[in-house]
Amino acid sequence: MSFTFPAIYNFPPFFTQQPTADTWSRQRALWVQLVLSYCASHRLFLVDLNELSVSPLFTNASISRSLNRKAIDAVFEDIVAAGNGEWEDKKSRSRCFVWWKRPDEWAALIYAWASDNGQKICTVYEIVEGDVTEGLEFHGLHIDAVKRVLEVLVRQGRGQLFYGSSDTDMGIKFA
Amino acid sequence: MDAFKPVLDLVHAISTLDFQAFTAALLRVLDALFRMFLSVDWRMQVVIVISVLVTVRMTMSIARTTLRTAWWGVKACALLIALVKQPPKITQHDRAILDLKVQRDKIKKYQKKLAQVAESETRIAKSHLAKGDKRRALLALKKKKYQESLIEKADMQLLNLEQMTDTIEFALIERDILEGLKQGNTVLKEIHKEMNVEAVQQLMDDTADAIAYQNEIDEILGGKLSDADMEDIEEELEALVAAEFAAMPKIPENQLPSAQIDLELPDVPAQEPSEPIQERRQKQKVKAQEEPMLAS
Repeated sequence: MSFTFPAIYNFPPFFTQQPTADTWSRQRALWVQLVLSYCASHRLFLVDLNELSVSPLFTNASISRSLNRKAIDAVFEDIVAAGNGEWEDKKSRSRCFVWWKRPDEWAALIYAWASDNGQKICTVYEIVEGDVTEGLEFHGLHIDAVKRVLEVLVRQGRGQLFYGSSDTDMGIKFA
Repeated sequence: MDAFKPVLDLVHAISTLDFQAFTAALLRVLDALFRMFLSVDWRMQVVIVISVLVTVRMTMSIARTTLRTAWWGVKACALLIALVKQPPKITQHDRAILDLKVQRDKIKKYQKKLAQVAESETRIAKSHLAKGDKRRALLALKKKKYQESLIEKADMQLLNLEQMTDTIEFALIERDILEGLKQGNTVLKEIHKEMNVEAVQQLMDDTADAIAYQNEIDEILGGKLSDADMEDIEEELEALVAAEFAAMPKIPENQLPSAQIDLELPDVPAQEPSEPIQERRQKQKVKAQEEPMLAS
């Protein structure tokens, strides 16, 4: 899957935190957009900031520039603040769910699929990896990400998460 | 009393929900207050300013508490709504189905792993073959075969599991159908209870009785008319007819003069005319003038 970076990606100052507050916030907004579209294109759901900082997203080899870690953290703070991200662990802040589709959008997609196909009880694994969802948009969703999505459904009263006889494999009953 | 008039206006505006009147009244109240403020002694003014500030401060703190309380109220409401909007209950059947599905997922994962191992065994066999170690290559291929047989076995298990899940799910659907039929049956029974055969028979008899009664009434009413009033009615009708006749123009008694036309035509002459035609015409004209004009 090829991802075409925007023109600004080849602009060296884009990779340096700009001193003017206004410019810096504008720059962050552009980075947020870039991160979201990059993750959507590569279907990344849970990103490790350490890994991502050395990925082509934050490192442009052709102009030998990369965004430093502090700036990356700031960009991700913005993503989380906008509701397009969620720290896996709020304290360590090393891994972040990237909601390029918001959890409620995913939840709506999954619920629509379940009600259209008369699915009553599904394992979480089945929803994201099963043969029945092959080719659907939420197929391949990260297993931890989908759990958070399903929690949205529980809050909406459209489903109930539960365990079988083992405590490891979760399932959902759709309303 | 005059000093309170703006206040009364204000109260009236609030009670009638008239916004324009409200703003006007408010301005007048503020104006009056400002005048009063200007008219008093400066010490009094200082006291008033301080007391107003204190009041505002207190109101704000109260408002903050109120807001916090309101926030808790909102949260409590949300909780209540969440309780009302209860998610589906998990039954023992659901758990059983989930267990089966979990087992199926596990087998699928296991198969994926086996497929990967089999692939790597092929790679190992190839590399051994490249090194010329035929024995090890064979071993790797044996392992691969074994993995593949395991995958096949797992497939059978998968089939079993899926059949089981399907059977349970279908049984649940059947149970739902039965439940639906039962409910329908109960409703039907209740409706029948309300209209048993005897009641219907009774109702039909009653209706027949009522119809007969109505007929009787009709007869009585109809009979009364024909007996007592029919003669009157007939008389009235005759009188009406007579009056009609009187109003009409009289039929003439003497006969109309009959219009008789003498259709007697002269005979065709038997002999040849001896006179020339001109002469004869002349004669005929004279004859016609002599005859009386009966037709006119």
